[in-house]
Amino acid sequence: MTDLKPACLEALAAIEADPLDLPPAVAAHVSRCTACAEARVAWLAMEDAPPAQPPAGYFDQLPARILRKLPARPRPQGHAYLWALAAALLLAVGIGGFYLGRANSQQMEEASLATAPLERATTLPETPFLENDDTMTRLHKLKPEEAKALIDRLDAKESKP
Amino acid sequence: MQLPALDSPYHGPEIQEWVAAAQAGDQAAFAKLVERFQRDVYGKAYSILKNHLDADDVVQETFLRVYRALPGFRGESSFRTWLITITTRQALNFLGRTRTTHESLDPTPEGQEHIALRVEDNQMSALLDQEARRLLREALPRLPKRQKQALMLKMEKDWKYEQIAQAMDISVGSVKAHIFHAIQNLTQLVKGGRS
Repeated sequence: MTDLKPACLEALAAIEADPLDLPPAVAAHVSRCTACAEARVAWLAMEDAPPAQPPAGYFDQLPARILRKLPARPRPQGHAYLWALAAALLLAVGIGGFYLGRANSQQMEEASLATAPLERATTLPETPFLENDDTMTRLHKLKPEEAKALIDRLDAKESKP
Repeated sequence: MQLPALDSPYHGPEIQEWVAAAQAGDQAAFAKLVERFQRDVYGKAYSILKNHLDADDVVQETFLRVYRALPGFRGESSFRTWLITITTRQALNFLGRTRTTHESLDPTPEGQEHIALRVEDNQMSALLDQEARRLLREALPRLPKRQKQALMLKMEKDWKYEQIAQAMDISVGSVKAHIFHAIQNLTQLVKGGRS
């Protein structure tokens, strides 16, 4: 072990004798020497203190007074990691949902295009031969005897002046 | 070594549970610790300051400091020893501050640092708490056997001098001498480590 300086030896002896009543020179040394100051704290802390009598009700109120002054403790880093993980997960779900939504909306567009010809068929009259009441359809539907009667009537009309 | 029976309210299993819970931020558990140890803390502060108002200031300051420092408490000593050591340091700091404010504004003696240039008390105390724990871990194995034994029974088990004397089969005066020499040797090791 290293040898202590005379000032430290003197201080330790004074601390052992009475840690609360140090001679001025020793007190000045202890205020500058961390090791001696710590020796004083350690020695004094180990001494049993006589029971003290505070004002009535002091100990009943003290815990609540202390609790009111407690600072909020910063969360441990493990929780910060979990929060970061949750945020990343949320971001991934959000981005995935966005692209999925886009994909779905394109499919819906294709489906709506497929219905367009039907709409046109009902609204645009560009297929006159499909009409049930046009002249050709009516001719095709005539029975042979009705067709013969029609031809006869037409011949009769042509033969008239 | 025959160990005396301990039925102290300071070493029940519930203390460790409350400490662990308070370390995780459970304020209700910390309130239980305050309830259990408030008389010791107040008694120690009062024995140094001899004044209720000052002792009350130190008690509150100590418990707030302990709450902030709890996550770093690793059980190198008993919780009560740790708490009382912090109380003692706070009370001595308070005493020093009070004396300083009563001093006149004489010029600072040569070679002595002005009070305004010193590290703030709380910062210094926090550093000392950490430093003391580190030094204790490093220096304890180098102490003579009887000194180490007496010191550990005091710090880890928080036994009274009488209990340690009984366990080591020596007088109370010898126990005090062993513990003081242990502190002296630790001081030497601290000085040696820094020089």
